[in-house]
Amino acid sequence: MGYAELHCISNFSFLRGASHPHELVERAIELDYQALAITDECSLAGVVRAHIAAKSSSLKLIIGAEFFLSEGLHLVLIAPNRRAYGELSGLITRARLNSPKGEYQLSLNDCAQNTSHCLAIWMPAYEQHCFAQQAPYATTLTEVFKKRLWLGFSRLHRHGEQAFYERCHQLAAPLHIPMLACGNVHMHERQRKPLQDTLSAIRLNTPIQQLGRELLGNSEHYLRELKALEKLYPHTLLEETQRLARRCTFSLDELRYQYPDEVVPKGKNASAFLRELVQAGAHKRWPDKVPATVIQQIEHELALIAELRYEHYFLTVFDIVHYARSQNILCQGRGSAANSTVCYCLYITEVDPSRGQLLFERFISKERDEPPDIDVDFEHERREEVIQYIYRKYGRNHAALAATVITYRSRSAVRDVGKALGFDEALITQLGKSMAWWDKREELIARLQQAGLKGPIAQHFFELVQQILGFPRHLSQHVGGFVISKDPIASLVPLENAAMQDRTIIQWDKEDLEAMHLMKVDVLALGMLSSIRKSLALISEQRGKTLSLQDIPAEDPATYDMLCQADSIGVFQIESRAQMSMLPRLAPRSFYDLVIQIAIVRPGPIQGDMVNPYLLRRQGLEPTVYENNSIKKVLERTLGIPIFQEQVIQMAMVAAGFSGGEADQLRRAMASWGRNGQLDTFRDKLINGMLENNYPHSFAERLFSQMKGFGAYGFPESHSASFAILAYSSAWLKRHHPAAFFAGLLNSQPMGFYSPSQLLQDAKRHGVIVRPFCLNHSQWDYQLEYEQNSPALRMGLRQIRGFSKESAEKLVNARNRDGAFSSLADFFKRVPLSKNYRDALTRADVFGTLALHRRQSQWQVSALEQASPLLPATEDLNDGVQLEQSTEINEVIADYAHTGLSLRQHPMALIRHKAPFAQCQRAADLPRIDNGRFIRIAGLVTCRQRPGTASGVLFITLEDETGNSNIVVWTSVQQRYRRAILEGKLLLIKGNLQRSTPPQQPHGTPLPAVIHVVALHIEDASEQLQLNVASHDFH
Amino acid sequence: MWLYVRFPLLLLDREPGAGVAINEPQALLAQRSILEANRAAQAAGVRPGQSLTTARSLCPGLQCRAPCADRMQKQLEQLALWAYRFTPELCLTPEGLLLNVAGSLKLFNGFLPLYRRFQWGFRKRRIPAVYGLGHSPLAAELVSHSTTDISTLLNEHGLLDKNAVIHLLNNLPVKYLPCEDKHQQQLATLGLQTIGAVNALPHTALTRRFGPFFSTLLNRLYGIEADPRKTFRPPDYFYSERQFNGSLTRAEELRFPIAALLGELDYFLQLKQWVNRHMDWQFRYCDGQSDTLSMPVSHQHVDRRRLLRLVLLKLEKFILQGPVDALILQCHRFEPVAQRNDELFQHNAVFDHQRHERYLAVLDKLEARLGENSVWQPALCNEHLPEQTTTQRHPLANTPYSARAESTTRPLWLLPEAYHLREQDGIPCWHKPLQLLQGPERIDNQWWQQRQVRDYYIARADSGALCWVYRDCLQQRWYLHGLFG
Repeated sequence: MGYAELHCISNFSFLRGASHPHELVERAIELDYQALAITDECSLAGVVRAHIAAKSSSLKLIIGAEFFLSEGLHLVLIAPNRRAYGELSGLITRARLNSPKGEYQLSLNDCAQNTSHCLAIWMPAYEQHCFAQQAPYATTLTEVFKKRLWLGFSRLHRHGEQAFYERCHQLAAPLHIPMLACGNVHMHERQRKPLQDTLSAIRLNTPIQQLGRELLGNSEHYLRELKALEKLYPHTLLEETQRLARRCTFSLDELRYQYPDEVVPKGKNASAFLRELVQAGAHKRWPDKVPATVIQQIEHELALIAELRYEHYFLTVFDIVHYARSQNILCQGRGSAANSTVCYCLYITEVDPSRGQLLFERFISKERDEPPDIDVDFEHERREEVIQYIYRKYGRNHAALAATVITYRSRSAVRDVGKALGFDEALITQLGKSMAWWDKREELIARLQQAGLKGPIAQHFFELVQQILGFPRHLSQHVGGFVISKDPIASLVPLENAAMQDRTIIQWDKEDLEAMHLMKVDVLALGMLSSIRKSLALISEQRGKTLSLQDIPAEDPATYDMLCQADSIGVFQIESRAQMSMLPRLAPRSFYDLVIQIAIVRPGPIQGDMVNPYLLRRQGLEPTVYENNSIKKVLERTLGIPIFQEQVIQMAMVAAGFSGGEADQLRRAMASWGRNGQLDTFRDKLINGMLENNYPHSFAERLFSQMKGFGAYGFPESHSASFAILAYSSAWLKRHHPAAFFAGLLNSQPMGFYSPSQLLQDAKRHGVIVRPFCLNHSQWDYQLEYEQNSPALRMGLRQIRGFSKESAEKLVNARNRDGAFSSLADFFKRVPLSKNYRDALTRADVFGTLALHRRQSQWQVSALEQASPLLPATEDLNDGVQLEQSTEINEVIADYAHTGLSLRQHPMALIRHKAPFAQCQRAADLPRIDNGRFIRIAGLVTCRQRPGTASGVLFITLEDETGNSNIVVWTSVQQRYRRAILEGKLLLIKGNLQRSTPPQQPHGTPLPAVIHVVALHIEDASEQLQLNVASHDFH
Repeated sequence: MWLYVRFPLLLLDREPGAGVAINEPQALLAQRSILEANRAAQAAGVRPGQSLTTARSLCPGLQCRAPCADRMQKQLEQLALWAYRFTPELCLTPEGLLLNVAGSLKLFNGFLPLYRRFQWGFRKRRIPAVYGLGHSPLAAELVSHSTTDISTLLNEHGLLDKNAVIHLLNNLPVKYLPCEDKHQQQLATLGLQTIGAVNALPHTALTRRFGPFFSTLLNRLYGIEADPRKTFRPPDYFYSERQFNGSLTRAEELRFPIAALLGELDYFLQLKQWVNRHMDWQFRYCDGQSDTLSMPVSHQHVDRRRLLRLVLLKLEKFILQGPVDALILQCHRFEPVAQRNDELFQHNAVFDHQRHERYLAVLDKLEARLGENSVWQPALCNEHLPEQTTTQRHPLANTPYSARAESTTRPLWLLPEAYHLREQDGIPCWHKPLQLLQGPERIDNQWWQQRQVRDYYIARADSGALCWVYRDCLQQRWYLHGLFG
């Protein structure tokens, strides 16, 4: 006796379903069901996951969705074939687009007009009077769905089900509506009921104890065993489920994708058009003569593209990039696409194929069986223009953004489950604070127990939190993945409204799209592009001549000198603490050195033990040996150490005779840690191939394990090269035009690794003069003010918390119109601002130019606010009162509170004289201290990093008035001082100084030592200052 | 001349030093959140304001009970009543009492004797008190926050030294000014730290910036403007208590506190010109339990000595359950001195539009005769488990939940406790095997407290009666839960 479950929701019916799609599928397989339909509420968001889970089994997966119509009817629609699927998807789109985010509206009329192939199961209401109200609809439903209508009956051990069955039967029989059994399944097993109740509590925002009858009365809504089903339902009803299931033949594999036509001009052939563009581009890139190798490569690539029929994809991306450039928006492709000469000629990427070894197969190959993936970075502030262009060109029905599934993480899980169980805010906030972002899932429970929770309800709490981790909460807009298709997208996958106005997303995310082989273009935002463009604009303005990215001189020695000194704050990709420690050791002196620098400072190469051998060989302390010439060709550029993914692929090709595509498959098998079980077949093939080429077995084994080690983590060389271009450009700007460099960075915040406070301190250390906020000089953006060709940086009003761009514009306009402001009264008269903005300005202390300190300006401003009709209006806003200026330290604290930085003294300088800081070293003193000495050091916490390596070491960056110092905290110390580490803003560290001096270069400035302080004791000294300093925390 | 008495610990249910330390963690509960917690509970992390769930998770063995309503207000009023004998110009503030003693100085031969009477009175009641003295009500309130002894504010004649008070006020931190948080913040940002600094600013400037509020406040504080306060009127009920340290174990030892309380009651009745109709004596034990002895008082005129004898007589039959921690007397049934008794039911009761008034009156009388909690009304509750769907409520309370028309059949009579049935061949038996007619209706709920999984059936007993039974799926037993008709 078989059975098909036709009414089942997953956790993609947000906060209703209590099981993942794959759990439902797996359980159905275990139970030996004939078929399973995933019918989430007005959504197909979970079907791809179910599809993948069901793929290798004999379970038939049926696609459907359930709806609660505006007439009150409960309907499940099933898609038996491709056409019905298109209808269903379209119906869901209609229902969702007409409603606010997260909601939908569907009427019977909508169904009538738009579904002629879908199958429908109607579940009439259980309550007697509701049933009576709905009964008349039976005829209407029959008219709408004709022979495609069933009545679904569920045995859920409710009161009076026998009578209900009879009522249904009496309704269905005269109209010849067949009845079938369905489970109204909300979870794959009964034990999920507590979680299901918790989800209801979260959904209704009420603690569980108070929900009463809003909860499901029992736990019967699960996938039951066949034996149990036979006892519960009449035979005919069970058979009917199979009858319906047999009518369904649709599988998601049938979805075929078509590229949009618009990209090819009328009358032209896609291939020919692509060739045209590539050739034109090649001539622009190499105006003198296109090198022969390049021509050869172009032909090779175009041939493969034509064979795989990807022309449209390249043309689509080209069109987008072309538009951006026409609008002067800086953009650059990244990732494996930079391996393509065609992309270089189309100006999609910037990595010159004639200057390096590119591997096209890393990007596209026959064996890959999936469309290419091109990611393009755009200036983050102007990306929206590009998005709007795409919408305009292809129409809202043919272009849509991919979704991202927002799931429960530790903090949100603890908060929502805590609230659902009735814990109060205070306890939950406290729990949240004591959790570190690096805590693993297993540690979560230990943490909660440490907080003092015990007893049965605490036990439930732990279990529910564990279960809910990873559950989807809602769909959100993906960063920039666009799906563009020839057919209306709604026929492939439903669309719904995103939170942003006028924004629609599809219900599938990036992984779903990849699994379904749908083309996706990533339109990404990169802050550094905005920053570089702004810096270049400032320089161009002063010179009177345009300076563009291409005009930056290559291989400038002074720039590399600066980088070797680890002076890289603000420089793209190489500004982190880890990068700064590496710079003096690797000492880059050429572009390719930067490419390696960017790729090598990552967990993969570090764990795979590539870094040290590379450095030793680079410093000439270890011999570089190659097995033979072909290996040498692949590894020579990295001194014999495989660092890049492309090298792994090339080695497989060269040493074991793999084709390019096969080698890429090998890389991917390694990247997935052999999860798909193919790693072993590849291993044998590789080793045999190498043996055939006369490589010793030991070498083959060693190579294989080396490849395995970082196959997952290694960087694509093309990606690193794309980034190196930007890294070099930003470094050059910092070295030669520091004021413009920092102005660009500060005007593009938030971005990068450092806060404005740290950037300004670095700017000052580089001799840039920073001028404070001034009513009569500042604008919204940071500006350069020139005095005899030497620029000073003027603070921009954007830095003031709570101020707005429009207000800044009002200010500037008034100033331009009628000249400088002479007094506070004059200012406020000429620039009408709301109270909030006035207060923001006063708190930021911008009236220094009018000889008013903070308190006095606040005194004057408050006089303006409460104009009482009984008091005469006087011009003297002081009313004869002169308030005393606050102390320096309070001014600094107020600066930090309202602007995030201070141009006055550094807070550490102000408390340096007090014990215990008097015994502390300063960051600038550290280079003079011997290795191994015990020292004390104190500073503001500006960065906490836990790279996630096995040792679990934590790095803290402390900032004081002389600079930054790096503190190393091992796990035992972390446990002892966990509170201070997590919550402290100002720390006092006692520990041992560790320094390592890199081997010196034969010429040039001596390379600086790399200094760390290994912490033994950590004290939270934050009450000395109530400062609001944000720390950058990450892995 | 104003005297201010502030009681900083009035909120605490247990004063330090009173009662034996209790080892069991206990807490007062009001509307599912913790009001107060004793030391044992606080050691486990229980804090006022927490929800019951949080408290129980930090301290699984926590015992909770509801506090007496308005206890603090009652205590304050009781203290006010006692202080009333010193001056009729008495005002209540949220934390204490404000008295205008200028007129009482002659009667008590100066301020210091009066002051000592106060100190002694509160010490006797074991209530910590802090004092303030000033030439305006606000000044007295604020002075109570300073640590100086108020006797230093008197001049050589024993009268108030206004300048000394002003000097004290000038040096007080701004945080004691009774104003909104946002004003406090503004003063802080302007760098004004003492009240004197604020007062030094021209008042027009202050008004211009803060409105008339500050100017008025400061003027009232410094006695430049009047600060009218609402005088205290004794409440319409009597409440008083005496605390012991648990040394009272025998009824005879209670004679003196009973007499003292009756004396207070007497004074109260004289003030109000009332006659008492009812007394509630509550004996609170060291373990937190309490016993109540209710006594109607039917005589028109009360003789204190006869009343004392009456109470002690009743006490003889009353067995104390342990050492007594506190004795409380509450009375709220009074009559004006000349009023006759009413009958329970009016003759010629006419259903006129004042029916509701009569309904309330009857309710009152029923409660008076039968007891406070003897009159209730059944009400429906939003729960799955049958024993939780009905509760009792006071006839006049508002129910938030109105039952939906559920198509569930429920028996009229629900057993207070489900009755375990024995089983024979899988069929439940109530004397004889039952015939299961309809079901099962499965209820699976309350996993967060004590999971209940029950399959309910409508069954017919041998006698023909329809009853409601269920099978507890976790315990594998049958129970009888209710009867139809």
